[in-house]
Parts: sequence; structure tokens; C-alpha cells
Amino acid sequence: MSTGASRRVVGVVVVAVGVTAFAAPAEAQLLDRVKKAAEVAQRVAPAVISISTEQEVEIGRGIAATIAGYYGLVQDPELTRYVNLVGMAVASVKPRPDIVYRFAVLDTDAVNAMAAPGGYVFVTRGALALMNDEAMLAGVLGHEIGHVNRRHVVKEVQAHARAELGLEGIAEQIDITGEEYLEQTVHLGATALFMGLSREDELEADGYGVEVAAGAGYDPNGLTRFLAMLPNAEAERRSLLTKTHPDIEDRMEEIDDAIGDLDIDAGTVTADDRFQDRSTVETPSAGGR
Amino acid sequence: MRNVTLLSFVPSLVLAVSLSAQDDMAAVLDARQQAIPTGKRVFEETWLTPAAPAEPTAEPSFAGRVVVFQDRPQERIEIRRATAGESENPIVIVSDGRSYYLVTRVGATDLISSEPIGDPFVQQVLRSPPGAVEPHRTVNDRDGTTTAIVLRHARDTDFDENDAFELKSPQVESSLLKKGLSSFSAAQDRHVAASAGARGVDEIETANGKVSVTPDPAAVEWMEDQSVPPLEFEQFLIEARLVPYDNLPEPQAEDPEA
Repeated sequence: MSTGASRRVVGVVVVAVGVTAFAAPAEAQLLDRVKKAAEVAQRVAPAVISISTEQEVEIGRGIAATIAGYYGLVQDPELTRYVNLVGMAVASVKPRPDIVYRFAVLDTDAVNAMAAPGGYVFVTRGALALMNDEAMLAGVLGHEIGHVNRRHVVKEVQAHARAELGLEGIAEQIDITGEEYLEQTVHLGATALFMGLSREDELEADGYGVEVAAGAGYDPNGLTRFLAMLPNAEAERRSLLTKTHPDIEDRMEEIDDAIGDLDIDAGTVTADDRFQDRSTVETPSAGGR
Repeated sequence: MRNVTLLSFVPSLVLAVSLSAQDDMAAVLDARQQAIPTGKRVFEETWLTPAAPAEPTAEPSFAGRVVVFQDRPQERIEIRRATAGESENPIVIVSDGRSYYLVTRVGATDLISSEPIGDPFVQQVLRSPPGAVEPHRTVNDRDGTTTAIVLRHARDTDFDENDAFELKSPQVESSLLKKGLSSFSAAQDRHVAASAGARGVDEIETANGKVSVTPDPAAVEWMEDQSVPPLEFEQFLIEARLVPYDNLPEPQAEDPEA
């Protein structure tokens, strides 16, 4: 039962109790039965499973290990340092003080970026190859930071955990990262990520990305310019990205609106030269997934 | 005999100079208190050390960050200085409208008789105007040499007065201080450290179908080890004139004729 439904049940109980005080005996008995039924429903109504920051990081690490296993990680300290510096510049505009943001490059020609809960953010080698400047990277990382800060994957896990973990009808809080459930929870989160988040979440992350990139001083059009480059990539290399995200033109339209709504002086930094100097992958593998 | 006289004279001289510096700073604090403008304000100052005059094309270097919360006559000043490539613990100074105090983990002590009042950086910060100033200013010594470049940005004023002007503890873990100092570096806050190894899954469903995966927890550990020192982060921001360095002038271009 959803929280809203639970509130409605409580509302019925409150009304029932109030009316009982003034009702005739037969009606009072009926209302009493309604009240008891509502109380039973309330007792078994499963509350949303709470997920603490510590649990979020635990789930995020599992999902990050899955993403790194799926694509492989470019273990180039200089490149990773550069991506971390850009990511930190963007993340520190609206940081979540309870987590540490970490950024890395996935070793694949596929064009994509992903974020696991708890601050694990990835961009692919293929996406970097498609970018021309640092503002594009800032926009893409800003989008992923939006997913982390708005806890989009965590919310997906919360929404489906009871059904997926076979806990429907159980009202008690459970430790979703305990030995019994962790693997299933990570699977649930990873699936949400690889199948695609909701259109609303993606568009929200776009707006968030624009806001934090601009707040850091970058040209807020970086994300739009990156999206405009996507058709230049081979269809196969962008297939997962296009299947898991809303239509590019819709996104660009929404992003333009978000730029128009910015209540800060948007930055203009693109740092093209620095990007060209520092975003090169020294020893790319052959293809990847 | 003459040496003995000299030796006994030196401590007295040091004491006299020290007392004089204390009087000087007491006057600075009085003037500062009077100059706090009305209204609730928060601003952040980034302090930079200018490049040596012999290197006009070099970038200035990050020296520290100061966050000031004001609600006249009260004021809170958080100072985090960078030395030797690392950031120091924050110094928290609070005025209750009558006196300035150094707030420590165990309580508050009169600022004027505390150790940090002798720190030249803290003195420079306290001497700087508490009211409106240009977003970019320089601090010069008596010879006219620029000793610091200061960039000021206004911040949101949605702070809690009770927290900000609390004299009992510096509230180092409070959201207020973290909010003030978080802009020093996102890498500073490491409150949540995972204790167990990352555990991935060996099969996932993707928009392209079900696939097998060999999870790579070692890659996650490698990723977690790639930390960036705070000062490198600041120099990265300075280099591209990213916020808060967006109003920092570019270094002088090299003269091709030279």
C-alpha cells in the first residue's frame, strides 16, 4: 500500500472514530468493524523501505562494480584525475555533504555516462571522444550528478524492492543491504540503470546538469552541444544511451528552457585547449561492449 | 654582566611588542564590530597569494577561504587556510555583538588573548572590511606590495542564527560549517566510508537484453583511491577562471618584444 493509501485509511479511521461517538448502536457496531478493518490494513501496510546514506553507498558500490565489470575501467590515473577535477568543479556547486563523489572513465567505444547511488559517476571513452570541450564534459557529469543528488536509482529501488525481494505484505523495515538481500538489491538498482530511468528523472537530471555546470562557471550549452553530436556516433555505439533516455530533440528543447530559467549569471568557460590536452586515453582497448 | 642585562631585556621587549600588537588588534576588532552593516548577510572570500613579480604570467596560488555570516551586531567568521599543499583545520571566530571569541571544541575563549590572533593571515582577514567591497580587491603592505588578492562572492542567507552565533562549540560537524567550507573542496567531506568490499552481480537486464557480467570490485577500489588534493583542485579552477575565480583578472601576457 502506498503512503497516500495509508493516509486515506487513517483518514477513514479518524472519521469512523469521530462518528461512532454520536451514532446509534447498530451503526456504531458497523463503524467499529470498519475501524478495526482499517487498523488491520494499517498494520500490514508496508511502509516505503528506508535507505540510509550508508546503505545507498553500499548499493552504489555494488552497482559500480557491476558497471566496471560490464564495460571495464580505464585505469589511467591522469585521465581519471582530470575527469575527477571537472566532476568536482560541477559537484561542488550543490554538493551532498554526506557522500564523496568519484569519477572514472569506462573502457568502451559506446557513447554513454552512468551514475550509481552514493556518488559513483562514469563517462565512457566513446563519449569523451565525441566531445570537443570541457563544458560538454561538465554538462554530462552534471546530468549524472543530478541522478545521484536526486537519488533517482535509490527511489527506483525503494519503489520496487518489496515486490522484487518477495516482501509484499511485510510491513516491517528490513535491512536492504543485509546479507540476505544485498545481491538482489544491487541487481534491482543495476537493472533500473541499464533499462533506463523514467523520462521525468532524465529530464530532471538534464535541468540539474545545466544548473550546476553553469553554476561552476561553464558554458551551460555544453550538454546541448554534446547531445547535438550524438548523431555523429555510429548507431550501435549510442544504442543503449538512446534506448534508455528520452528523444534527443525533446531533451534539447527542455534544456533550452532550463537555460532560460537560470537565475544566475551563466558562465562562459569551455576550456577547449585543456580538454584537448587532458582527455586523451593513452592506451585504449579495442572496442569494449 | 653586560650579556645578562641584555638577556633580561629581550623578554621584556618581546612582551611589550606583543602587548602592543594585542592593543592594535583590539582596536581592529572594535572597528570591525562597528562596521558590520545591518541586515543578514553571508559572503565567501577566496584569498590568493599573487605570483612573484618576476613571474607576471604565472597564476596566483590559493591561500585560503573565509566564510562570514553576519546579522548585526553578531558575526561569525570561518577561516580555513591552506599551507604546504594541505588545508588546515578551520578557525571559527564569533562575535556576540560585544566581543570576539575563538570558538573551540571545548568552548569559547576571548579572541584577543588566543593564539590565532598572532597569525598574520588571521590578522589580515580581521582587518579586511566587513561591509560591501568590490568582488575583486588586492591587499597591499606598507610598501605598496600586493600581498593578497581577495575574491568575494555573496552567498545564500538562509542560515540559522542560533547555530551561527553559538559560542559553545565550533559545530565542526554541523551543516552550517560544512556548508561554509564545502566549497573548499568536494573531496574534503569523507563522512561515509564503505567498510566491506563492493559486491556486484553477475547478470543484468539491459535495454539491449539480458547479459552476463563479471563484477569488478577491484576497479571500484581503484576508483576510490584516485583522490585529488584540495589545492590542485583550486589551481584547476583558477586556471580556467571557474567559480569562484570568475572575476580574477588574467595574468599579464608575455611581451614578445621582451
